[in-house]
Amino acid sequence: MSKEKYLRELKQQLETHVTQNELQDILSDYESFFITAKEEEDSELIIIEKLGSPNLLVASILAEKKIEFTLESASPIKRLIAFIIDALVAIIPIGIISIIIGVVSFSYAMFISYPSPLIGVSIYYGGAMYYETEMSVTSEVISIDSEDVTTRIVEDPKIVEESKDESGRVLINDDIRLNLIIKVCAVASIVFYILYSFMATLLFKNTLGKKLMNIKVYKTGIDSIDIKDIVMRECMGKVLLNSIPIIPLISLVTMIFTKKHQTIHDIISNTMVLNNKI
Amino acid sequence: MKKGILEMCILFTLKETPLYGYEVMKLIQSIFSDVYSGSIYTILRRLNQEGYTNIQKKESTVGPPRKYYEITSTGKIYLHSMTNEWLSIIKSVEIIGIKFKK
Repeated sequence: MSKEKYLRELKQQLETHVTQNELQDILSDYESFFITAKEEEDSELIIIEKLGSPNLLVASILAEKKIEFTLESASPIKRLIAFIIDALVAIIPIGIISIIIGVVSFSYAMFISYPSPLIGVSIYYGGAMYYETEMSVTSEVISIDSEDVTTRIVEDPKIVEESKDESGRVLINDDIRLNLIIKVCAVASIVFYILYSFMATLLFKNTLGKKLMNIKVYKTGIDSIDIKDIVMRECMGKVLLNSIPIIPLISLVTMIFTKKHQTIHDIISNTMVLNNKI
Repeated sequence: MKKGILEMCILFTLKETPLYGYEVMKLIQSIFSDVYSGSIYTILRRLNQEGYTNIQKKESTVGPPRKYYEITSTGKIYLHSMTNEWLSIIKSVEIIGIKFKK
């Protein structure tokens, strides 16, 4: 956005709320702000980024004057698209693991249950238990040929004991190590799945999906969110509350039909998702 | 509470020398990095409207004359009362047991 466009937007949104004199005063102030800022910084973009979107600036100017002003919240469609992008990002590690161990369909189940991450976790855990059972009776039949005796080091003496009656079913050392690596990666990927949104918002103030759609989470009072709100919104709201079956559905309804377009996790943390287009 | 603190800091920086808007904004932002820059400037404008600062137009070597904000005597009184309030808050917090390392 150029400086001219920015100031035009500012004027458009302000003029219905303040007198002509005020408007001129404010506009000339910000015009000179731009000019002096340009002398310091080399990029108009940085200056505009600092000021925020015109909508946000207008809200803060009017808030100073104690004038009521509702911010334009991001459209539900943008939020849904951002949500789908984030869900895809969250299941990437899980997807990789499931391709490796051959259960790709799991990733789809996790993707669909992303609104309620704990449901996804329970599916995952169930699958992991099944996989675990399978692995513990792994079979690499060691063929013992009278001329070609392949000796392998066996980790678990108990399995050796148990499998002494069976014909050569023993766990191979390499498989055990691989199994452990897979387990660790599996745990890491499920942690990523649950905490992706929380960590992204905490560290970068935004998730990838929201960033691509140019929307951002703010407190309802135009301040940027702090850690308390992020914990409330992401951990309490998205992970815990959303695991109660009907809640994500209610969130969808409130998001589409309320003026502020807030979901349940927005409401409990007093946040809104606004357009960040600059 | 934060808004009051910002006002106090802005007036304090102006106590030494008059500064222009963008300078104030950069200074405050370098210290309070998570404050929305837009609000720094709006607080500055409001302080001016309430008479705590005065605008001086100084010629600049590059471009049009700049608006410099300087603190007024009313502003100084206001700043004084705010710093007193701030100090008493710190004292109360210390009484509860939270110590500030010097």
